[in-house]
Order: sequence, then structure tokens, then C-alpha cells
Amino acid sequence: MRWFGWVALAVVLGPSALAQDPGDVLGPLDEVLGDTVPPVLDQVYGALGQNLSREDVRIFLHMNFTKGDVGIVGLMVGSGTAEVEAHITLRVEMRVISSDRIRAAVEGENAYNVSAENATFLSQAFLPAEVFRASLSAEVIAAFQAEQEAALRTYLADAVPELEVLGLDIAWANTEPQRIIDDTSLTEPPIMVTIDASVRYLRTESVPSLLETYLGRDKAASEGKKAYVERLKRDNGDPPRARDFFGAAAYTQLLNLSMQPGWALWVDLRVPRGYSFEYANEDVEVHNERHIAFAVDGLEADEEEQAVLLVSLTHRRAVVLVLFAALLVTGILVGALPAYFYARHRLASLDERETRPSP
Amino acid sequence: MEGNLGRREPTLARTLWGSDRRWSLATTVALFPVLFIIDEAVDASFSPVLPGLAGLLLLWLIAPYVAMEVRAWRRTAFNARRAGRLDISSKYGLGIAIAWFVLWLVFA
Repeated sequence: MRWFGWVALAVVLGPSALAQDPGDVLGPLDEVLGDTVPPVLDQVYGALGQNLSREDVRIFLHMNFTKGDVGIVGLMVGSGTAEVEAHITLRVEMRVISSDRIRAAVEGENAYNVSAENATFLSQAFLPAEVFRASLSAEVIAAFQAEQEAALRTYLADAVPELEVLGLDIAWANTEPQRIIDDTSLTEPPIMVTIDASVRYLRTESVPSLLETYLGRDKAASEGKKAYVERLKRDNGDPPRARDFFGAAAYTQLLNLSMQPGWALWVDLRVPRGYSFEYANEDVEVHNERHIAFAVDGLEADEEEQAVLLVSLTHRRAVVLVLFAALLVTGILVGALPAYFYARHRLASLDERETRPSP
Repeated sequence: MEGNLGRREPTLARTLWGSDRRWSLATTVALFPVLFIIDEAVDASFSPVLPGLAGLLLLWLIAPYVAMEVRAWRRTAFNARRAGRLDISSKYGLGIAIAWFVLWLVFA
């Protein structure tokens, strides 16, 4: 019975695998991506004992910060530039995906934010990896790839507003239609896309700005997008003064992450030597002060899972040296004049008292 | 008295004044890392680092004046030998404080 199902699937979906133009693919796609699961697919699912009623998309994100430069002298005069570079590896495993999402990607729409609330067509068809492999031509994969790359750039811009994407490479795996004959599972192996990216982060900070943030008087909070970011930080983390000093006077990065039902995200962050994570607001798995991990799991959720991750990052030595230098400079400037007058007048009178012969 | 190169020899009061200023600076430098050690060890509702820094600054600026005026109030005689020992010890103290600060910065 299982072999009959596989052969039927291959016969139905075969023509779409031969399509050369994205515009030609939608026709064959429509044969399998209607408002309901076509009878032949439904038979196949039944024959194979598969109950596919939700998506299963798993995302693994590894961020390795490779460079961190802090302009220490600039920090004291108000224009300290922090430049950070990172290498990001993102692996997306698609075991079951909504037909609406595929259709949106093929038609050039936003394929990530497809849901029952905003889809122009509602389908209950969830495609497992095997059907996805059999129904799409290389051109469709390429079109899908471009949409996903654009959606990812947009997602990163929203999730990490101060990040610049330097390079972005996408590679697909397990997309060959011939796999359908060898496998006994509709969802394994998953369609995989691996994204390799290099990003750069530039931020200008100063000691007064850090102190204002610490004391809760950040002037930037009144400006548009920055006000939104600051509000998220306030609502989702401890106030700076409730943390220890390095956690409060550190740079706090906001990650606003959301996963649709059936989606899950695992995040792994590493920083270069000298830097350390001083504070994190969620249940973060802390491997050490340079390595943390975090997850947003919507695999079993019925509604969108959202999490706001606050992470405070600092370079302790730089902060200590800046504070020490500020202490010395302040002491020298404030104490110089009184010391001069004291030495000139008071010490002279003390010397005179000592040299005066005692009566 | 005029020394070589036209420089005036430091008086006892000036020697003591210089020693007091070096000792207060040495104390400030030595206590600076302690602020962060306490901050890390103690789970308080606010961090003691910034108030501690303000306190260290006041200590550094005010302590030499207090020391000199206490001697003057007690009418303690300015003993040349003791002033000399205080001068040398203040220099050693400042050196040790700087070494402690550098070791803490490198290894902490």
C-alpha cells in the first residue's frame, strides 16, 4: 500500500518537477495546493499514516562575534565607536510547511508573515518535505530562495535594528525530487536551507550617555524608533540600577523574536575574548560568560510565540580603565587649585611656626 | 636654603604634605578594585560602584588636608627623621597600590 502511494504521488506531481518557468509552476502547483488536500494526496497521507495539521519549521541560529573594537579615548569625549563583526550561521529545517506560504513566496509576497489572519486565501494544506521536493522545480526553489533572503534581511532589520548585513549566502539541501522513492517518511529528511552571513555593528557611545542610561535619563528615548526600543527594554528587563555595575553600565542589545505556530528558534551567541555577557532577562542557558543560548519554541503552540531578549554586553577592562581615568582627571582638575593655595599659604605658616624659637 | 640648580630644599611641612598626598592617592588606587569586588559579591538593590567612586574622590582630595591639620592641631613637632620615613613609605605604598591595580586588571 505504501509503494502504491509513492508511485501515485510521483505521477501526480511529476509534471511540476519539469517546469522551467516560475510562471508555469503555479499551474501544476495548483493541482496539489488547493484549498483542501487533493484526494490523491489525502490517500497518500492516509496510506502512510501521516497526520499533517500544522507546520514544523525549526531554525538554528549560531552567532559568533569575531571582532570587537571599542574607542576608549572616544568614550570620554563623547564619540566612542564600538564596532563589532559577527559570523552568523542559520539553518532552517522545514519538515512541514503551509501551502499558503509556498504560494506567497512563488507569487512574490511576504512568505513569512502568512497566517490565517492576513492570508488572502486560506488553505488547510500542509506540505511535508517529500511533497515539497516533488512539486517544485529548480526555478521555483530559486524564486523561493530570493523571497526568503529578502524576508530574512527584513526580519534581521526589525529584530536587530542596528545591524548591517555585509554578506549573505543561502544554500538549499535535500531538495532533489528523486528522494521521494528512497524515503519512508514524508517529513524526513527535512528541506534544509543554510544561511551564512557576515554582519557588522556600529554604535557610538560615550561615558555621559552610558551614565544617563544607568540613571534612567536617556534623552534618545523620546525619538521614534529609539523610543520603541527603549520601551521594550524597560518592559522586558530589570532596571539598570537593579543589576550589578557591569550589567547596568554595559551595552544592552534587544532581540525581539517571534515564532508562528509550528515554528521554533534556537539561538546560540558567542563573543570574542575580553567581552562578556553581564545580564540577560530570559531563561538563558549560560555556558560561560562568553557563550549563551536561548530558544523560542512555538512547535506545539496554537498562537504566535513572542519573546524579547535583553542581553547586556560589556568589555570590562575598557569600562574600568575609562572610569579610572575619569577619576584621576577629575581629581587632578578639582584638587589642583586648592592644593596650590594651601601649599603657598598654610604650609608656609606651619613652617614659620616650626622655625620660630619657642618661648 | 638654596640647593643645587637654584631649587629650594623642601621644608618639613612640604615633605609631610607630599607624603600625605601620595598616601591618599595610594589608598584611592588600592580601593578602586575593591569597589568592583564588593559589587560582584554583594546582591544589593543598587550598585555601590558609583557612590564608592565619589567617596574615593573625596577621600583622595580631602585626606591630605585633614592629616596636616590634625598634626597642626595636636602641635605635633615636625620630626625630620619621621618625615623622611613617611616620604619613603608613601612612595613604596603608591607603587604597591599601582601594582595591585594592574594585577587585578589583568587577572580578574
